[in-house]
Amino acid sequence: MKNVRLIYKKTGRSKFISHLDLNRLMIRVLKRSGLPIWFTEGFNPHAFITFALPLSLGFESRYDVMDFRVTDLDLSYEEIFERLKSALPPDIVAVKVYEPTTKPKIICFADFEVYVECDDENYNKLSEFLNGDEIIVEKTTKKKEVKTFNVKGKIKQFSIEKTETGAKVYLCLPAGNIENINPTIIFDSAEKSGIEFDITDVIRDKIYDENLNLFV
Amino acid sequence: MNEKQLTQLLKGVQKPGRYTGGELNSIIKDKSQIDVRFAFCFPDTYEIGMSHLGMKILYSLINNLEWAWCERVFAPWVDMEKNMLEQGVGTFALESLDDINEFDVIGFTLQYELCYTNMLNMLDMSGIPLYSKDRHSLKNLVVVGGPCTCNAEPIADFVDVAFLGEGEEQMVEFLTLYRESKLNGDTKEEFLLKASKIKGVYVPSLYDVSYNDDGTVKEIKPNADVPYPITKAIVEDMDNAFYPENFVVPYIQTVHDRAVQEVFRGCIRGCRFCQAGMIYRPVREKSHSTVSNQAKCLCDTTGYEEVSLASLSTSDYSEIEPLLNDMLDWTEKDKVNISLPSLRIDSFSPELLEKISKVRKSGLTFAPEAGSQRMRDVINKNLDEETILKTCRTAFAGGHCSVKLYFMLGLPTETLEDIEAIGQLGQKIVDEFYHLEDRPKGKGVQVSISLATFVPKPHTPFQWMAQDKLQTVRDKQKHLVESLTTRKIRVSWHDSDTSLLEAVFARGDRRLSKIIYKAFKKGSRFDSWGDFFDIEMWKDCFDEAGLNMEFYANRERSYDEVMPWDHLDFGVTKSFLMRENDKAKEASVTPNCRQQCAGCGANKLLCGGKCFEKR
Repeated sequence: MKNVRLIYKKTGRSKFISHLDLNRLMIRVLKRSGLPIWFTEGFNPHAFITFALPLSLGFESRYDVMDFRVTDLDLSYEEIFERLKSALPPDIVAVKVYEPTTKPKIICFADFEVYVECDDENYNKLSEFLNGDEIIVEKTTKKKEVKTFNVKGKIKQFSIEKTETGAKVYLCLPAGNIENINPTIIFDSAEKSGIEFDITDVIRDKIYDENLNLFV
Repeated sequence: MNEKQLTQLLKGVQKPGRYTGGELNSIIKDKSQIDVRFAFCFPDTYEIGMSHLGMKILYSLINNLEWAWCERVFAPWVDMEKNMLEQGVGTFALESLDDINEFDVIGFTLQYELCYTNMLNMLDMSGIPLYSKDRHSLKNLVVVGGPCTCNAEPIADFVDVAFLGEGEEQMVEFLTLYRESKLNGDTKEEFLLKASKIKGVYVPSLYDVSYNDDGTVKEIKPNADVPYPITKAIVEDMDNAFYPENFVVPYIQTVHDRAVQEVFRGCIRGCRFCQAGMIYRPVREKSHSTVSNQAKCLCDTTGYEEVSLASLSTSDYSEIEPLLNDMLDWTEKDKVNISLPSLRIDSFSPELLEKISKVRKSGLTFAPEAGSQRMRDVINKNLDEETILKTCRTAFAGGHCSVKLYFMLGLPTETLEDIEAIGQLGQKIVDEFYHLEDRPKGKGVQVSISLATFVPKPHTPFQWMAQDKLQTVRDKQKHLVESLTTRKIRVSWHDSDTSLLEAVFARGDRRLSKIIYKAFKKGSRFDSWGDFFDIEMWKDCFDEAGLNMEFYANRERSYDEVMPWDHLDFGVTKSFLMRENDKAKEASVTPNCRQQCAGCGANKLLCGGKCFEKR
């Protein structure tokens, strides 16, 4: 048994594939690749795959991670990479394949780029909003209660810059097993405070461990 | 439309994956190099349409022509429709995201009668005139296919061409002619006249219908030099017939999310209510090695972990044992599950059970269709009670502890005793479970009874029969539930309102086009989805047009009456259907095609007139 980590990009129309559907899709990709995938040995054998950090529906990703196992120890990682590359659908692009040395549970932060369309006035308002001392957001708990809290302290890093049609907002937010902040809740809150804009794209970029070292 | 607009459009829409396209094996071509663009429309949601085998076959077939590009189009769900209307976007194809009004040919597959208003809606959203007479150019030609075309009359005013029979045969010839005509600058009329000479191509505008004072059809007459009757097209040699090497693999879960391998066409049984069993005659099988090879190829190219062996009654396949042996050679190695969707109760053996549950165990569903022996003889199900019980014993001994049974209510000659017999049969199956020594331990039994309402269909022996009125059906459903004494039997049923409308359209005539138009204008959509169906609104449409539903659905017709579909020839002769109808009234059975030829007439569709089943 050999552990394999695949890094891939999920772009374009594939951002509309939900996490559950992605799971099904990857099982089919592995099957099409003809790789000797390791199956679980339970009552209902299925390909053993793990996604390091699930992605929200509608987000693109430049660095998505999937782990799986193959049964043939002699298979080279180059060979695995080539076979996966040819089996993936057009908008999901394999970046690299290697032997994992870390576990997904160490992931603590992720970078996001949020592209919005707005006029100059709203750009200024949005910039002010992000630079303010507190950003109050609403989050629905598992018990369906709506809780409000200040998310400002949770934002590790951020920046906002002007683009031709609006703004590009960069955010580094908690992500992973312990805590997750979805960037859209910050923008929902901005919208509620009367700022007008349209989100055109959300891209998740690099992911990090607790010390902001890149997760590989 | 471009991808950015699509993203805007999908805001707040449920299941955006329905509308994005870009799936594996979907085909993108350079439209500047294409002579004929074909929009293959399925007038229901993506999940349903993508489960349809016919679309997959024709998609590959058309895209194999280098000068043609076939794209897929599905009906937008109501939330998406709202966004599209607000942003001024018409019905679009998933591959190019282009509006369907840019296409040469717009084809709809009509799998069930209740999708007609969706077809109109999809055309209307793209600003395409709904009535055939209002579309003057060769571009945006509207064609339809699928089982509903065996009585295409209710939609005859909307469509330019209806394909009768099996699309693989006519499609290439039809599109080749279209391409010639387009490059030639022919008018739509010139093209239609030429196309009508292709086998199975029915051009409704070239035939006139007149009516008697009582509302029945008087005569159907060609108004040009065109074939009469119009005979369906069929594939003669299934082994050499076109079959796709890959399927478009959806990103989201569809109804049938698996590879589908066709095994044979037609059905040897002559169930008298069954339209598919009549209009797909004669039986034509693929050889077991073809089936196994094609199935393996599909699983390899799609990555599906399940392959379904599709036909009208897969256990009737004459080479089923060698086929399963062939397939198990690779399915076990590749961890592929085989599913047999249409099993007959009487062909279910312990060996078969063992083979299909080798990889994963799935549920068991059987269709006795009727509870009493008399009733089963009337419909020619050719199935006795002991066989049903024996099969359930086999299933229980094999570790299953729930079975699902399909029945029909409202069959011709049905009495209350026949209804009670459904519950009694369920009870006997429950008893069978508890009498069994080697039943699954520590588990109870569950028998699910699912009731459909009988809908008389054209080209069947019951095409003359009346459908039960709504109230009668409801009384019968209630009667069955009240006759039950155990909670181990669960009963569920389909909405009988929709069955009424289905019966109306199934045997309707051309005057119904205006009803469908009215209902569409009043906002009727997705009628087959209970969510939006409103029978009162439909009744209003009939009242306004001076027609009534009972005339079409609940009236027994005489043998002399001209049927609205009498000019459409699906192989089986009217005299055969009458013979079968007479026998039904005496509860007398007809043996299956393999035992003895019943002389249905479908053999004349084949070269040399020799039916494969005639031994």
